[in-house]
Amino acid sequence: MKKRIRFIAGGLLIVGLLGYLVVSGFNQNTMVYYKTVSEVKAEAEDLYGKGVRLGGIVVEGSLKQTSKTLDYSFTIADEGGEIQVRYHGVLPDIFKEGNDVLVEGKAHPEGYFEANHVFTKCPSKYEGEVYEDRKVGN
Amino acid sequence: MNQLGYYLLIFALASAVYAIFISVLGVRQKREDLIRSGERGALAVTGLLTLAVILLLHALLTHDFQNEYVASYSNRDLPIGYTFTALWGGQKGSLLFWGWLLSLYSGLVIFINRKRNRDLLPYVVAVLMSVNAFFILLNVVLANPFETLPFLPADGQGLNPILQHPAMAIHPPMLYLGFVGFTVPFAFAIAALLVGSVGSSWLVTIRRWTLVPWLFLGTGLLLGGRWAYVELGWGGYWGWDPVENAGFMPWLTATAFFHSIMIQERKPILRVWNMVLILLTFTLSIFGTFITRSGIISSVHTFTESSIGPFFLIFLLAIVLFSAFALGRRWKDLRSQEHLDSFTSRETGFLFNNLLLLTAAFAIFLGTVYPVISEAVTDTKITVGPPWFNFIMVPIGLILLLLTGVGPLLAWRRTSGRILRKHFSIPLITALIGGSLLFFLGFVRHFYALISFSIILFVTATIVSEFTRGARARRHATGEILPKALYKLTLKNKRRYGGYIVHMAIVLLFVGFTGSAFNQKVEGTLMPGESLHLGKYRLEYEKPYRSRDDNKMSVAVRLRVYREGEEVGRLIPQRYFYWMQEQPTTEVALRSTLKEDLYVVLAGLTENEEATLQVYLNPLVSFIWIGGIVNILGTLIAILPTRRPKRRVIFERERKEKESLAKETEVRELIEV
Repeated sequence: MKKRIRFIAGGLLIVGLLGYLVVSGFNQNTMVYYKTVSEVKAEAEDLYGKGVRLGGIVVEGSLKQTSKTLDYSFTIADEGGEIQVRYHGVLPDIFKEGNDVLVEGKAHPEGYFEANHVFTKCPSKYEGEVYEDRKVGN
Repeated sequence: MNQLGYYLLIFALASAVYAIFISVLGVRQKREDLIRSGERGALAVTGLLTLAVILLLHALLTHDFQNEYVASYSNRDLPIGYTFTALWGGQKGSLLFWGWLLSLYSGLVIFINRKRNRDLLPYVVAVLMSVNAFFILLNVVLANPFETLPFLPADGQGLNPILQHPAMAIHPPMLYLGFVGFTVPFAFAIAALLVGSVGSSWLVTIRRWTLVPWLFLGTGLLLGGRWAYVELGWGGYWGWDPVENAGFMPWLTATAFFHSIMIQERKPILRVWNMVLILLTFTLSIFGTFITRSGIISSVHTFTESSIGPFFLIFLLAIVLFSAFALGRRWKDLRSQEHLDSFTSRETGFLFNNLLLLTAAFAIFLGTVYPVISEAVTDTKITVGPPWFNFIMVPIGLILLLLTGVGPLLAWRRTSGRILRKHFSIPLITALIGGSLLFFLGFVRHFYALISFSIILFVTATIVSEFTRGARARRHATGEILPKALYKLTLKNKRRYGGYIVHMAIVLLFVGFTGSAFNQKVEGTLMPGESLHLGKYRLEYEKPYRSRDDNKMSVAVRLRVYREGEEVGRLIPQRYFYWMQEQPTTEVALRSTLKEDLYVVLAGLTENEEATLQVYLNPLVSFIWIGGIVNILGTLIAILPTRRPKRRVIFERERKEKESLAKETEVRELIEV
């Protein structure tokens, strides 16, 4: 019986440690909040330093390369408004004005969004576009 | 033709439903003829779905653009190889492909068990056909791959160019073979629960049926990583994306399963646990499918949001409820009376391994569904990304790696101190010396990397010493030369030594993972003649190329690569722009050696020949792909049947003995005469 108790105690200790590991993973550096454009604008102070993920459509004509290297700026819009996004890095292959994108990064107090990552929906073969008539007929 | 395809699906559905009912009826009334009829029904499903797949392939290859699916996922210019892969390229086709693979598995199960496991088989068939019926039903009701367009398009839409890569062509079928394959052990588990034969015999049967999909799934995940690495151009191979996670979770629980069944094979304990593991593995496979198809969790790969989500959710619920019901009914029979003997035993090692694997699976599950949970509970949608997963998975992974070395050296029941010292001293010394050398010579100062390399040395030493110990003993006993002794040793005990080889594959994978702690990256915009420096490399921009054809426009730059001042070769990173899809693709230039990968992405080329490059130096990545190949080898060895003298051989021997006896008598008679 004594042995049994030791086994259970040991097991609980291990489970406890593992549980602690998982729980302690949730912190400022790892959590990313889904926000809308208007929320980011309204809660700018609250979100300071927090990771934010933001989705929207890239506004036509807004994409600019702001330096010789890989600095970009573009505007994304959702129903609630528009925000300028600045990004340093290679834009994904499928990035296009007028398309849906997700950007992840931090809201800058000056009112723009500093993105570390830009995601586009994988056009995966999975996602064949709905067949449109304009593509037919020739 | 398309009409015919749809009818085939309907007939297949009917056969599946027939097989379910007639099998259960057969077992209820103990009528072997009904049971056999159920099996034939299941085989009919295999035949009908095979025909349906052939029809769809035919439509693809003959460019029958009247078929909506064919028009959406292929076109005339698509190379024939990728026209084949378009079969599972879209939602509808992939569901059909899924159902077809399951029907192939079912056919195989029925064939192999035509004389074995007769008590379980009717239920096995019923469960397999229930799952199969679900997938066919989706095809019939929601996603008919034989749907026709009201007009005839001149050409199809084609397959997305970034998916036109060999790894991407075989990655989905591998994953599917994995996911789908877990239906078989699930079916056996449910059958064992329903019949009430909850001893250990069914475990022996399903060990292989679990290893096969496990191998496919693992290989599929690695191929996916390989594809992402060479095709997507972000320099990495794994991003903790929900779809990757979906494949990884059942892999982890299946790994836990075939470790812990080794305990049950020796001792009637952990029966509930093992049952739960296999039920969980299948549930997670379906959950994975659900994630990829419902669009509930945003991922880069999800199918467009579709009406299929709720169906999967209901199916998932049904699986969980039915499993719980079947398990609950046998709960009393499954409870064990025996206990573990000692902390330092193989059993405890396995238990610890199980705990870690399950925690890993749980953590991944939590991280994957966190956006959904957080939104439901706190009304704020929060997601966790790679930093969260790495924070948790790195320590768990390292302890698991350590266990791959420790576990096999522990004895069953109890390990004496003497044995511990004997088995562990050399590996421990190797790890300590190697670790300190790496640290003091200044190669590795990264905390986790240092730990990881030390553990890698430790585990490698344990595996090598296990092989040499066995081979030496054999050489001593038989006088064989060492290589032959090693070979024979492995073949005589495939399960054990195949397992060691798989462990070695895991070590190789970790070598590759650990390399990522030393990744370097640089980017720059260059004019011809200028150079970029990274590590010991210098890349000199020679000149740009431009070309165009009917399909695409391509830009490329040629780089001379110098390592420590010496020219080692040329790299040509490119960018294509496909007219039809109005989409650019990155063609990574890769110089891969065992030591490190030099990985170059062309981010842009301006009119005046200014090239923007992103260069990554990723050490040790090759070990991951090598690990994948070693894993296939080791798993195949572990799966191979242990050779028993075959019936025919015994027959032959007996016949010869009789003959020689007869001859002897003949001769004797002759002499006497």
